[in-house]
Amino acid sequence: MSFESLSGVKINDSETKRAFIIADFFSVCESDEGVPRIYKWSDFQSVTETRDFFSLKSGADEFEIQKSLIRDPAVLIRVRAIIEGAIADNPNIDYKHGKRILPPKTLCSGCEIPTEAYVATGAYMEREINNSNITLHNPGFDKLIWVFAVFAAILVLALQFIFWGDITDISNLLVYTVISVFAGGIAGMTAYLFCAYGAKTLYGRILKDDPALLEDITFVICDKGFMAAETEVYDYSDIIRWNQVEYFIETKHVYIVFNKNKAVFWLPKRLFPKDIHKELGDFIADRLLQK
Amino acid sequence: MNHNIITTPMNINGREFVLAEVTRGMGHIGVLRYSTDAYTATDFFYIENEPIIKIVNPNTSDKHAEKYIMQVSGSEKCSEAIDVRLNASAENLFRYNQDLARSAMPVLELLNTGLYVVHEAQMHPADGSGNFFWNNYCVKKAISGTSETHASIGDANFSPCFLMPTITASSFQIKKMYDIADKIKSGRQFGGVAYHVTGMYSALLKGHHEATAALMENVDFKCLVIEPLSDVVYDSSEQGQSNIEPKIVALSCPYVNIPLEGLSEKTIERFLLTRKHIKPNAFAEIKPKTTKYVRIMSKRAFPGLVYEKAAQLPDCAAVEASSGIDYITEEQLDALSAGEVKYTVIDEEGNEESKTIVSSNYYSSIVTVANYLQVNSFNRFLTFAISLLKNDELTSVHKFIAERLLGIMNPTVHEYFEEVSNRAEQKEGIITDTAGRYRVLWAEHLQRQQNEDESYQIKQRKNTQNMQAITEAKGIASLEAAVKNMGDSPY
Repeated sequence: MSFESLSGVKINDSETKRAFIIADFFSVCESDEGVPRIYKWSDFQSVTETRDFFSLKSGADEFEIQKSLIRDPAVLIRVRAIIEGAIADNPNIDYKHGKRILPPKTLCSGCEIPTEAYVATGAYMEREINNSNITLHNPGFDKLIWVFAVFAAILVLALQFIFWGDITDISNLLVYTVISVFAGGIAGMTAYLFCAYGAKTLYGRILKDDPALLEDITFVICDKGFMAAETEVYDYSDIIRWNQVEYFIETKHVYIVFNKNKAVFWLPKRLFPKDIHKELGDFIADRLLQK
Repeated sequence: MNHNIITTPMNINGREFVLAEVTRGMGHIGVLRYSTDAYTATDFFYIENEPIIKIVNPNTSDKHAEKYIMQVSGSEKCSEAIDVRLNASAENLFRYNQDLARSAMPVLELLNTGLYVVHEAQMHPADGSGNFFWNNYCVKKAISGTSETHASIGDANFSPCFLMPTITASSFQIKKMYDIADKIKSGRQFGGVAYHVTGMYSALLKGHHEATAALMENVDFKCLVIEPLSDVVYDSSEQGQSNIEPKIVALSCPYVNIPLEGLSEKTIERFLLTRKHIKPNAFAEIKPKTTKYVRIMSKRAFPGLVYEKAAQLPDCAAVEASSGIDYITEEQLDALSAGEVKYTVIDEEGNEESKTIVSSNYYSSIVTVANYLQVNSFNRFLTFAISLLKNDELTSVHKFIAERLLGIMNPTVHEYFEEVSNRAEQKEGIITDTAGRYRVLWAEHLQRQQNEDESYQIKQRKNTQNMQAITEAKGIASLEAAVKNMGDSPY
């Protein structure tokens, strides 16, 4: 089981008078039953994590654990690490989760991390995630904004001539051109701000889904694979192997690794010295296809 | 550290034990998960900050996979405080006959947080294949009986009776072993402390010389055995019914299954919250030592009799086969000796009822019962085996039983085989050849024993001479000192 050295967690639900214990086993203690119901993780068919709860299904039994019951974000992170570690060991469990920057720990397998590895610790920055999100959603975004600005400028110029214009007067032409360039610039800026707002909203949504974004993250890149996990729960004994993912892209701020066309690993370049950025990029490129 | 230990004496199906709940334990003894790979896992049994035994599971997805075991270090490198506690536990139980819970307390404090079953059991200083345990785990090899589950045992309980040493063979002191053997002869009780590691195997924490001496003297070697309670048992009555999810009904370790109903909510909660592979505080110190060990093979030679007697101990197959039987009565043995697979019981109303002893297959019944008796009651095994051999109608099992007796150097067996050899001069039988081989082995055994006795006497004589020399030297020294003192004296 991955993340098997994390201590177990008991979650009390005073409303339903139930308690859940999440550790090597999953157990449910009902206040009116003396003996808890104990499940092996392999007993579960599906687990879903939404913004508000975890839902676990074993045969006819379905349990919902509200995240609001766990007040301490560190405990929530531990609970999620234990559940995902257990799913990593039982790949038959169907696991669904919301948007995420950190890789799901269900992809992890145990590994002795070699001494020669790139290791860094630090939190993600909103700016680098937003920038990368914009790039992710519009790969040719810069060009698109330029085209949009030029198109807006030409349109404004044309409109001026239609409604006001005498093109024989050279002074008019100069004034109209200046106004068009301004209009194009404003249109481009508006488009950029609109996209930035979209990215910020997306980040807000991810942040709500994934409280780990506010935590310190440990990043490991080595010959066997890579990992990004909350420093508090990571003990350097689990990793995602290179063969678990498909390709990566490089943006101005981060390397992003993809699996089934979903971004699973964001590695901020900022956390490594500038002089090894190229070496790091080459190291990943030697193991993954770059797009 | 403020540790807390709650002990509860229990008895389930005639198995007496103490359930110990350790909270905030020192974590000086246990098994740690060192690394896992796609299909393999490497664990280390450690004491304090010393990795002692390396356990490699070559296929984590197969519960029947035998593990690779290797001793990588010795507990003689650990602090004396550990040894003092282990010694106290062993002495309390076997010398001063204190109760199990109180005796176990010093060693329980050394464990990690969790639930443990503590019991007393007969243990074998052998590797489950007839080899003496010391110096036998110095190379990495697959050991039978180390898998997580055993096909023929299933959920049945057994005692993890084979021992793995935790001190290196270079620490063996023959004089210490003979001293203990002398004390055993004079009637003193010795025992050890063992910790269950995997399958049928326990690490011997205390009592290496005692185990060896007991083997030499043909005395049972008992240990205070600690087994981490870390597994669960499903309700077998619900298994196989597609519409019902099988329920977990008991917590388990090899020695016993404890039904959930018999445990308090707090105890169950402690079990559920404890994780099996929690890393000890000393992990950072242990980790570098796990890769920098050297082979600890020692050239130390043990007395030849030790190897011979270890070969006579039950093997894994015998323990496995015998685990399905709770007890065999004399009536059942008599019926089997008479060639029957069933025996008659009289119920409360006085009606006679015929019941199968083990199986309707006679040969398999004999194999199972022989295994059970050899593991649990050696004298009954001898009597039963010879009674089978004496029944001329049961020739189908004679070869199997005779081969079983071949490794047992015992006067009763020798007497029987002598009789068979003498009879063979008139008429050849199915076990004549085995009886002949036994004669040769017996002669070798006598020779070995004689050599052993002679070397022991020589050592004793040397010891006595040394002691005399020391006493004389001390006497002369004290005389000289007295003379000197007299010279210094103003009188």
